[in-house]
Amino acid sequence: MSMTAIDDLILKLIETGRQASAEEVAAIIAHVAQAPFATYLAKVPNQLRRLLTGQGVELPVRLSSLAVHWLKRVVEEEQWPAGTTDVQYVADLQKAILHPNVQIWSYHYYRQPFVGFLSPSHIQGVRGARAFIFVAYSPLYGTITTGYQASDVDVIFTDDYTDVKQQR
Amino acid sequence: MQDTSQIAMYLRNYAVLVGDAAELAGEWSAMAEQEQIHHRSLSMQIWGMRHTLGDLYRTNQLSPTQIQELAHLDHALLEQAANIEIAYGPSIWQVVRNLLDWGTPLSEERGSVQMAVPIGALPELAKHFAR
Repeated sequence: MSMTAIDDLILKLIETGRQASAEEVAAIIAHVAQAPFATYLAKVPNQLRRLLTGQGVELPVRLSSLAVHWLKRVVEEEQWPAGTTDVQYVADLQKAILHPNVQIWSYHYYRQPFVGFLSPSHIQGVRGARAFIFVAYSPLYGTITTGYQASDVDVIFTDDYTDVKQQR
Repeated sequence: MQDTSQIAMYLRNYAVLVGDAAELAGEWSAMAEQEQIHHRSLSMQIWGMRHTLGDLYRTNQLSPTQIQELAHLDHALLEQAANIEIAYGPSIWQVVRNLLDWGTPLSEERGSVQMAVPIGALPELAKHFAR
């Protein structure tokens, strides 16, 4: 399947609530594991700016989505070790997607379609370490949109998520 | 038991979510969809932090100061409900339901809360008043 075909497949799974076949799941994992993190430039609102600036980080008006997520995980939340680069952060998310015990969900989050991956965390020994790493992927844009450590699936899939279907 | 510094981090992030709602809501219609997705992607995790704070509150794992801060932020969240819906997605009804489901010190208070009700939610509010 081509890259676009796999994103179309993910969109159809979300729309229909259909259970993906084992072959389709394998194709989705392989596809998302090489997807880039979103780099769209976004405004850093004032309170978030203060939060990150307070940790000694000076920020421009707009930052890439990846930079904001990476800074939060490393500097503010201590979910990744100090000194982790943005490249290492994304590599860790991709590693989580490829974990043999990864769980996968398709869902909408306020009308936006996503597929989410939850794996046992391989990032331990930091204050913000949790049991799992969660990664969300947008099939509309072909990018990872967030990735963080989470203690439990229940604190991820709140009632704000709809059409939630476990695919693996 | 949760590490105190992690609870403080949850509260800081919750304060950022609430504090940035008005700014993001004011600029929302001018943002590209990818930027909107970015802001909501950040908020997903923070709602999870708020969920965890509720669990900690219900299981008596928060200090009096932390409970006071959580109550202050829950009040602020409700006051910002209209902006919260624009910037992050949940309706005022969903916000109230989430707080009550997750756990909030407001459930122990006797006073009142101020909520900014989005105009679009008024018909639904009228139905509740009519019951």
